[in-house]
Amino acid sequence: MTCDLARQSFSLYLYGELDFQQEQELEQHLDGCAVCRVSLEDERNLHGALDAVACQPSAELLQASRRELRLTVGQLASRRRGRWDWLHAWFNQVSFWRPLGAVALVAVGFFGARVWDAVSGTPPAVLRVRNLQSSPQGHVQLVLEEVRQKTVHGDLDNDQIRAMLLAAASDPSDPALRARTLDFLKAQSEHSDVRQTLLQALRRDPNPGVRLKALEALTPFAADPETRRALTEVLLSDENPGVRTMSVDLLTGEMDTETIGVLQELIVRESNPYIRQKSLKALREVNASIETF
Amino acid sequence: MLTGKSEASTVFVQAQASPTDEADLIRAAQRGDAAAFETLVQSYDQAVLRLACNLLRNEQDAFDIYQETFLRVYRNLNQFRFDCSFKTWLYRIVTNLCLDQLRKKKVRKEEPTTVATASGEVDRMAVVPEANPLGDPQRNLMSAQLQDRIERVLAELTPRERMVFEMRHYQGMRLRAIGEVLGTTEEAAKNCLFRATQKMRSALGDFV
Repeated sequence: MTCDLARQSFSLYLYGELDFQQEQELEQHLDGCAVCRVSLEDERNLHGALDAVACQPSAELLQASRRELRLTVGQLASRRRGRWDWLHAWFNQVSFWRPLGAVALVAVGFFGARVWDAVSGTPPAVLRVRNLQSSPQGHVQLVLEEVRQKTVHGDLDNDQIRAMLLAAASDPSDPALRARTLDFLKAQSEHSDVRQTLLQALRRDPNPGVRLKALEALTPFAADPETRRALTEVLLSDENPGVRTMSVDLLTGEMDTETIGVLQELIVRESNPYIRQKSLKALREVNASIETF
Repeated sequence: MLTGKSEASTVFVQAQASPTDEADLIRAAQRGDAAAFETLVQSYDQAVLRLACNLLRNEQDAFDIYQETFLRVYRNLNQFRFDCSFKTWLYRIVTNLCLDQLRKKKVRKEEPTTVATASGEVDRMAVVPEANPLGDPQRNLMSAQLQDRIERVLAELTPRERMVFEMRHYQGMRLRAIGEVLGTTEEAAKNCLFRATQKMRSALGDFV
């Protein structure tokens, strides 16, 4: 691979969009080309600079958008219901139907409410039958599952809010929500339950973006023994080079004998030349051997 | 105690439906269940708003795109037949609306570099407030210049390049999913992303 070709593929490489062979060729080239390694670092900086202009819509804009949409959809729904107006006009023309209709509506409302209350109480947003049994009297007993949506507001140091954030941080259905949650939790990382959640996300979250957020939040605790244990595990086993790069940076910020051993092991098994280079540099700085004996 | 404050430190906890729940929600909304429709909207509306804000760089435009997107979803939900994911269907709507808006913006006259004030015309950049007035002034200037340059480069990309870049870089979508949303192949989306990043590198290379 030539330097020109290598440089052209840096961006797709950083996005993880090169196929296996292209990535292999690029990494082999980077292994032997210091100039391209520097260029790759420039490209990484460019990606970082682009992150800085990301636009996050305000909570006020989101609320205003939701309010307006609710209003418009409500109007559209009532217009749809208005298609039955011809029936209403006919009722108005035939005068004796009006008291009769009113009595019928009251009766339907009364009996309907009784029946509905007996079955399920207030209508939920989403309702699913989970189990059912018959009774000797011929009744049916249903076990229902309800899903409701609720918005809560509160400060980050509120215990209830924190408990909900901790639950959202491990919601398996949405990595973006987990990443955003860790961003919020970052400010609360002095709490041990928050720290445990961050460590768990770093070790187990399937999404590399979420793991990077966890690393970012754990940066002030890089000297803490439990955090260093997690960083070591991640450095030796995480499949994402970005996560491994950040872990090596945090670990080498404070070199101890254990870290030296980890870096020596890493040099043997690490496939990414950039991370290997970083480890070598850190070992050289403390005059440590680059091999295990 | 929970309060109703809406300050910077306020959090909005959003429930997210799992795929099975989502199918149930869609069916309920198709039957006219307003609460199900609202839950469905709120599962995706932050992402839609962020996409529109990032692409159009204007809160009012993003607000309009949000309204138009979800009204189209409301009007056409009965035609949704589950032959692709709801997210792909929704993103097709929002990306088409944003592409139209970007194309309109492209043909509009560019904003002047100066702005009229009581004391005469001044450069736009001179009236932009500093991000961190207590920080290193040279660094702040550098970062403001870089930000301005990035905004300009993004504005110079074609609407399609801009869209692919936005979805890959800021929304974290894979190129295959982007191709599906834009009705093209993964390879074509890759070429588009390649062109976008090449343009940005040549315009910003000396800055970073």
